[in-house]
Amino acid sequence: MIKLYNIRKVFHSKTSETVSLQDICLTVEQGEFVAIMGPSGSGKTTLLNILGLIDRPTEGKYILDGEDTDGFSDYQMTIFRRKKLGFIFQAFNLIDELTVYENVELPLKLLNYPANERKELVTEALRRMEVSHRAENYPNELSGGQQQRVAFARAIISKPKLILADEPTGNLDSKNGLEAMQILSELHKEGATIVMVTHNQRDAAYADRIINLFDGRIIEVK
Amino acid sequence: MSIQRQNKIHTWVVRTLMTMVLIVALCTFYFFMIQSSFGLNVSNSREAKKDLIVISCYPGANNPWKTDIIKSVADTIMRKKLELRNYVLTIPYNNTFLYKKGVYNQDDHDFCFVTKNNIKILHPKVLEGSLDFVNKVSREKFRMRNPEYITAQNDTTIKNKPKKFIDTTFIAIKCGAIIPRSVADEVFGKDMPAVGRTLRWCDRTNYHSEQVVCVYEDFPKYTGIANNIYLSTNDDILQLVEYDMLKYIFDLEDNSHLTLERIKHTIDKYLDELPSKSEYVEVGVSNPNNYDAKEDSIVKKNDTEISFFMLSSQRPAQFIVYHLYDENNMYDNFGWFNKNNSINFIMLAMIIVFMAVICLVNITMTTVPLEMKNLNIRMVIGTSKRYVWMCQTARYMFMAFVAFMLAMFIIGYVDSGKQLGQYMCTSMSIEDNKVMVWITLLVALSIGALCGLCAAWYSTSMPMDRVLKAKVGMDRKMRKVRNWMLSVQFFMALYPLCRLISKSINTIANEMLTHNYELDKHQTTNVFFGISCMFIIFVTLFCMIMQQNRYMYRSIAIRKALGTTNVELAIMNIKHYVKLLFKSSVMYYIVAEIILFFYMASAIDYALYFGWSDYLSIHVAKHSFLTDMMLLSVSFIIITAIIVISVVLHSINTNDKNLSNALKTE
Repeated sequence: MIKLYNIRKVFHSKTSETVSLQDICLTVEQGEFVAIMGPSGSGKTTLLNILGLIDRPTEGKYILDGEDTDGFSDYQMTIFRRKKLGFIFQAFNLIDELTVYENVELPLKLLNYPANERKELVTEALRRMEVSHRAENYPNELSGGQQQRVAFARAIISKPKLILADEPTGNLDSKNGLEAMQILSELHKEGATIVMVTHNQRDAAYADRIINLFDGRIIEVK
Repeated sequence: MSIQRQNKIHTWVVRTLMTMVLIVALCTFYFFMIQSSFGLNVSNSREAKKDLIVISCYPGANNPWKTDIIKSVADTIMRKKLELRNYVLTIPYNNTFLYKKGVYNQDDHDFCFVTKNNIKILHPKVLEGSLDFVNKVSREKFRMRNPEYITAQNDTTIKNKPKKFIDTTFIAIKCGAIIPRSVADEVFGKDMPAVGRTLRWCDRTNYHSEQVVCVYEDFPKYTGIANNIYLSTNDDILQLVEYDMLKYIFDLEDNSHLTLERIKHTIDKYLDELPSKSEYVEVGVSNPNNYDAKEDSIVKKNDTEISFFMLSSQRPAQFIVYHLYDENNMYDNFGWFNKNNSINFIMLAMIIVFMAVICLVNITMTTVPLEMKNLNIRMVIGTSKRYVWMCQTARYMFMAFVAFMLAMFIIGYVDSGKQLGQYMCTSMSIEDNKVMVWITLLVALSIGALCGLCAAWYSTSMPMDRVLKAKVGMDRKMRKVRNWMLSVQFFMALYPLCRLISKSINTIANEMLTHNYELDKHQTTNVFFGISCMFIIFVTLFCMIMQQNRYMYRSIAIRKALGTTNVELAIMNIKHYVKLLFKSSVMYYIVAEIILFFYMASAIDYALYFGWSDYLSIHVAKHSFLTDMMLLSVSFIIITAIIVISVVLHSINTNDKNLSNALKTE
């Protein structure tokens, strides 16, 4: 599913150059659940951004679902994200101006699903995440746990091949965090490929494999 | 109030402001463009002859010049056989002509109305009818390009929207109408004799009937539109004491060898031979010598209080000679319709559009930080950049379209009223200005598109991951750029308000303004432009506050959390705005106003000193001076009010209840 060869990412500023990732070589198989761990500044999120085609590596090769992303234009990357990736963020990143229903419906709209099919899928996703009763509410009217459930619903609604989760439990209390991880685990069991960035050892335990990063390098794979 | 709610309010306020700015800008653009388009049409439709020479006469001393002088000049030129085909004296009409006391009326009034007894139209070639029938002077106000009319026997009624066609309201006596050929052709058709026909016209409230008594050849073409009247003084009875300005237009033969220089030379020679009308005139520091006095005629005289010069052999009048169709000449005979004025109007329209663009882009940019995150979330999920750009552009274009429709509605409403329409040079009606309506729509959509593109570019120019983590915002450099933009916008609105309009329009007014209609037009223009500028200033400052409010929101909250008191915050705010507004722009404005103050003061001084007791000259000078002072005061009041409002807003925003929210919000 994912093949990374000698990925290097450097951030330039006027005065300095920061190497965020170096010599990253990684393979993630279809249906695998991988957790990426490491201290702050180790490059976890940068790696996730590269995996999610939000950012490009400075050097190296990234093959996603059999396609070399090196020559991808911005538009191709967008279409790839739309069709094959699902995102879950620590800060939920729901769209304020849309209701819960509309937030979840958005990826399907982008994929041109017909209205009746969209309705069915959204209703089902909200029911599964136990937030159906909040469908007409705006994100700011929801609790943190509920917002994250909505974010999960949005991430899985289009049945993406790869789900990328950036500290999904970071903004949740332990109870909600546990529930979030159980949802991820269920998705994994259903065959989804998941790459998760986390600080939390307990969350990482749900993964098949744990990759430890330090100063932009993979130092350990468990 | 939650941050989401604040954002929503901010967005709505911004959208409303944008629509309002666009409405004002589009109305003003339309207003100026129809004026200039009509002016240019008139200007371009004139014959391209360069041999129509105008001699304008101005008073030359505190002893006003006399009609006999100018007549003598004309006669001299005629006597010298300067290959003239025709010549005409034009006198801008001011409702009343001033006469020497006791010449026509025995009471104390020193004016009388124009009647057939003291004035008659002479020189234009009469095509139909006889000038013997003429018992009134009429000036034409050509309002309809293609008027519809119904003919029933000898009666012609102009239908369609009733508009002022021939303005004869200033003469109370009942009489026939004198019309130029161009008007006769339009109304009665070329094959139809116009004399004897009845012309009905409407001043929007009442219908009037006039019998056409004379049709004259347009001389020069379209002079009827220039609001000048053709008349010649009757030697036995008329002794005009004062005019604002009197002009001769000389139409030279095709093979004439006459040049401007020759005419100037003839006049110079004539004037040199004339005895001085005043023995001397005092010339002090405040009244610099504006006269063409010879060096040897200057006599120094010591007074007990002040030293001054005495001029002798001073010329009794000044003559300015120029080609009528010289488009660069500010003394163009066609006043409101001259090419310079038209170009000025186009420039004003462009300035308004430019100001609106800067203003709207600035306002748009205040909404970007609010929308940026949502847009980037959409992009992460899979919305393409192209789609975001398209949506943003379409949204602002739609807003611009709505503003355009509202602007057209307002213009239609204004046009239907009788108050403003009569002060316009041409019809404001949408039907009569279809091309201009399309141009205005194009301008509106272009502005909308530009705003949309700017917003889209800025929203999508940052790395998505950083936007999602709220790590990007307007950095110091960008804020500086924005502040500069706001200052430019602010200054762009203020500067033309106090300088361009006051100076250029009032210069035109002082030079060309000779009757009330023209004054009204200038005032209307001033009001239009003034309102636009003031509005844009207001919006600028408002959006400046809103923007500053957003960026300062968190920093103020942090300061407050650290123990800064409300009073200290208020002082900090005041300092901030003083720095932002007064230092960069307002001080410059004050300097401009001070210059203007002395400029206008000297204009009044000049007018009084040289005996321009004519009411209008003084009135115009005073008017513009007072207007500028008023605008200055209003500007300061607005700025001060805005600063006060901003301080209050900041205090509300950072009350203790919102403090934790502010600290949490990135």
